[in-house]
Amino acid sequence: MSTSSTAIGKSRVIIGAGDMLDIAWHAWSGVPGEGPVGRLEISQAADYSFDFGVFERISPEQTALFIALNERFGNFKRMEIVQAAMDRGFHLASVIAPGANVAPDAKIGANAFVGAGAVVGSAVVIDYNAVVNAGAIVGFGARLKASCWIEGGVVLGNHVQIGAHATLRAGVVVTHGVKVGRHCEIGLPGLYRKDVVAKTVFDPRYDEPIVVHGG
Amino acid sequence: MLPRHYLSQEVFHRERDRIFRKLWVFAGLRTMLRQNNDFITRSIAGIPVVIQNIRGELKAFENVCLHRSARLQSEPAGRRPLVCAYHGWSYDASGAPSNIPLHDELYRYTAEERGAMRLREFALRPVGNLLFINLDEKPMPIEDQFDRSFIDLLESSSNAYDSEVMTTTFRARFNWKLGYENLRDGNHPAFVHPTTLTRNVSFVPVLDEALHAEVAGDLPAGLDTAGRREILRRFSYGGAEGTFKNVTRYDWQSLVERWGDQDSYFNWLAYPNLHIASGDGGFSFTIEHHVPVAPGRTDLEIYWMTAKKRQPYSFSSTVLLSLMHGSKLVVGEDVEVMEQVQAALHDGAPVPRQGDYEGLNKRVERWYVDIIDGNREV
Repeated sequence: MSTSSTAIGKSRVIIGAGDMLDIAWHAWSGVPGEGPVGRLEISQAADYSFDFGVFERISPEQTALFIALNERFGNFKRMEIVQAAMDRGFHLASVIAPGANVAPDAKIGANAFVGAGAVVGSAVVIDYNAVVNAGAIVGFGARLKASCWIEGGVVLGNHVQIGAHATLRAGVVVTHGVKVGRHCEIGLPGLYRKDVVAKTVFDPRYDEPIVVHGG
Repeated sequence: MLPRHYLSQEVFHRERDRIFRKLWVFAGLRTMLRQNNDFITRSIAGIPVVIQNIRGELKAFENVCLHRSARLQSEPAGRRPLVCAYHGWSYDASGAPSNIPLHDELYRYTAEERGAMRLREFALRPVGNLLFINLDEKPMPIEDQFDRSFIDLLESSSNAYDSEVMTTTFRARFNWKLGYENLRDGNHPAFVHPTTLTRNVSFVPVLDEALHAEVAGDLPAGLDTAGRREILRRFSYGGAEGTFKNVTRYDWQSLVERWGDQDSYFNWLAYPNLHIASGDGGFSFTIEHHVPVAPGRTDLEIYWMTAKKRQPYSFSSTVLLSLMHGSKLVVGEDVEVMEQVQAALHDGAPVPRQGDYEGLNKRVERWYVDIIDGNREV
């Protein structure tokens, strides 16, 4: 597989918060032969802004960095830290958990994550900052665009396309060739056989889909 | 009011005929109809309606083809000419069929027959970005329904809406009137929303003595149409209703052109069934359109938009989704109470005992009873 690998000689550090920080730390620590993984928790204020002072504790020259945060705010909060890291010149690695089954020719972008037990098929392209959680299945030739979030229990058929910042939750099955638009949130379990228009939200708490008009 | 006003199918039909098919009611947003062939469809008082941009002109028609009664537009919103998908009839801005495929071979209407064909058209009135429709053949002046100052306020605030709009529908099991009685009840937020809305907004219920005196008795005897409309105009109002305990600013708010500069919770109530709010002092707006479906069922059509963007930004729909989730929480608390009230109603249920502070509701209710039970015209 093609990944954004850890640069030789650099120490590995994860910046993040919540469960995803722990999950990514365990996954990366389990990759043999690369030394210990440091972890730095980032705090968030009442207005949801981050304290980027955490970057002052590491240097871009000596650190291979991974940003670990959940899908909050349409995956834009994770992207916000990624952007802050890139602005400071950090190299961002991808993390493939031991036990993930990733095809040799799959392409995995910077700061992308593939969890334990996930299956990523041949010719799959996972763009930067996308997350395939433990146990998800990504079919042959699928394309996951930047900053999307695929929960465990999701099944993506062959050649499925997932738009940037889309979130797919447990129990969602997308059949072959279907396109899910950018910024969608597919949270209602079920079989999706038609393309989903960008920014559409299927949320089981709601009686009807949430849609966006204009822009 | 009496339980039957919330339970009876007959009352529901009378409301439809005497209120919703006579008054101006909310129909949609102009920002959703900016381009040629943009359309929205609605069911208003039981009538399918399409509002369509036809070469820059907004027109409201009954959304039913004159040939075989198929719907002309079948989606809630979109961009498509006014053409029936069933047999391809297309219509012009006057509502006349502009093209009937294979007319001479198959239909052979006379010139007179064809000349008489017109979609049923309804009066449409933009107020800023808001569109109001009137289904009556002789629509009353909108100024008879809404005070001029209220129209100006709606116009000013709605012109601040951004064109990106998020929508959904909550299917609720209560009568539409309960929602507005709740909205006019300034004493409910502290009890119904203690950990959500009122955590950061203070709503102080007031007892308006003048209003209490106004509504203490029956309606004046011999009230004519003009008198009833004079009362009707008092049902719709808007402005700042709550103050913030703490003002928190979010990044996205610097990316939009705020309406005004007052850190207050704004509410607008437009009788009969439109509620608009800005819960953050003019940075964002929500529309709650309570659409009566049956005596015990109401669709809450929810819209969210920020104030106009200064320039596009990537996470704008995520901002709207966060606002929508807030709405789901707070409106959900109201819906839960209203559904409990509705579920407890039966023909012999006790009549609500209103306190002196509930003048706003009394004002509406005695007018409503006069219209519905007294067979009056609005």
